[in-house]
Amino acid sequence: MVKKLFKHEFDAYIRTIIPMHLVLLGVAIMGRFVQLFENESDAYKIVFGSSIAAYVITAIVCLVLTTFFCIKRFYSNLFSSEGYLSFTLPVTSSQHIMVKSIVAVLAQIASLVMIFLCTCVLTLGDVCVELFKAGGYLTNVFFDVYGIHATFFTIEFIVTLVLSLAASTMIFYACIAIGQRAKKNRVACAIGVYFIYYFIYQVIGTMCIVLVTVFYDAWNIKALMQYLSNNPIVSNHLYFGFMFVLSAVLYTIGFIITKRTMDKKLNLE
Amino acid sequence: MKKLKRFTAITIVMIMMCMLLCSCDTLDYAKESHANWTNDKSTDSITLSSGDTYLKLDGKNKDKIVYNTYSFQNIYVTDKDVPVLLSEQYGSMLVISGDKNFIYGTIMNDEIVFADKHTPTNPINYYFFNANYETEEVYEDDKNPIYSDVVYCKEELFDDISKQINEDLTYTHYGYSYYDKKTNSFEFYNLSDTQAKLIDTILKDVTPKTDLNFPTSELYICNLDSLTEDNFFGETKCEVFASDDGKEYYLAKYKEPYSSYECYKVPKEHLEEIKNITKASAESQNIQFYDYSNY
Repeated sequence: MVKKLFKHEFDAYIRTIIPMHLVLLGVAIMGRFVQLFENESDAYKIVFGSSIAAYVITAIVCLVLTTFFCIKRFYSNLFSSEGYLSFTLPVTSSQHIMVKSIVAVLAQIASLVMIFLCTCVLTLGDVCVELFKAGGYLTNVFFDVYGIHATFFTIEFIVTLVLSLAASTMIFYACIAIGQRAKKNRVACAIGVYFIYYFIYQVIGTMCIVLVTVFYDAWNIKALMQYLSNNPIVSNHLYFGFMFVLSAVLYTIGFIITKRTMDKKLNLE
Repeated sequence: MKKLKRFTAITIVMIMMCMLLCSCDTLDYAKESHANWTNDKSTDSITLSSGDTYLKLDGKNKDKIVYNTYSFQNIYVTDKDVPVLLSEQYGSMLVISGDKNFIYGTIMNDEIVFADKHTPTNPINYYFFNANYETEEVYEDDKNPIYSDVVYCKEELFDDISKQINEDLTYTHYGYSYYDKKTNSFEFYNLSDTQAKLIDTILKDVTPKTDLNFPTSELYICNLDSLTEDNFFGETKCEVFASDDGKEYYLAKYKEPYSSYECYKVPKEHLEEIKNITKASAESQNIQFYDYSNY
């Protein structure tokens, strides 16, 4: 049953995201087409600049809309009238949440990959080849400098990126879950919950910075900072480790809140 | 319908092929500015992206080479495996003269250039913070300086110039270089004997005035050099300046240690002659004189 759930989720995402990606591809092709008429005139510079600006804006919109659709899909499929059908399926609430969060992360990664491919189309030709050469050279330099640690950094980065995407998606789900407990204006309430979460997150971050500054010498933080700046490999591993743990904690908290709401406090429209 | 589909497919394929084959001006300029060290671990020779090879010159007359500087281009010399887009970050920046005969500039010594593939953009920081080169002794060691001035010339000219660079030079005439818009090339204006005598006369007969503030509003016209027959070697005889309304001309000699100019004001009877001599350089620089008669 979970496989069918995945299939229907993917179908829903494909129906919405593919047209967005085709628009992005069209803008990239138009941008590349404009470059065929390259010359020194002001008119060309204006048109070229506009085509690049249009591509950048379209890429940003594509990412934002993908995230928006992930949240909307979760809300409409589980907390609106569709939820009556969804909760009749022989699937637990945990499975619902996991399937939706996995497909949402994959959709966002697909959008990032599509932006990368469209950028290749926008720079098609010599420019694209030179960009790949530069990327390859910098990768070699990276592996030369860090040796075996470069491989670990790459793995840690990919894992942390995926987990961060999942954590941010789960936080959105938790906000929707809390918001739907309200009797009226559930969406507005969910947005308000997100702002409160963001505010608390920033306050905790600021308090940590203040504590570090105040107790810089007393807690030997200065010695630690010097050690980390002299040992970039260790500091990078620690950074990725910290981000991994933070994302895992946020994901877990979001998951628990969402699951408890769906199990105990579900209140469909 | 089939014909329309086929026509559309062929058009799309042709457009895609055009896109694949087209480059862009920025990349083309970057490729022109990119050069490689011809041999690994040696800065003795540079090969440009056009295929031209330049060989390093050294000799007592290295500082007397005349460069056509009106329009020069920066080039970035890197190892062969460094891509074009990273040449500014990982290369040594040198300058190629306007007539493409010489490449010159300052580079680090070979040990530092090739010590690490990721040559840093700021060599001073690299020296002070890199564990290999942090001793004062290395920095102040004249026998193994970190920086050295280098000159390279085109391979075709190397035999001729490498002989002259170690010999005593014989200057045969005065002249200056300028950019000729008609021929779209860099030329030398060689003064005739009469014109050269005129310059010597002015420098001998006119009482010079030392001015610490010179030039203020005066316009630079050209450098008059004493040149060898082939115009490759020379020494500055004097510089020519004009007032911003073009009614006064000065021959100026730069004087150390006070960083000032010794100015020889051109007498009125010789003014037209000096204007004619320096006309080519003034036109190439689009120098416009103000007309104060209306004020």
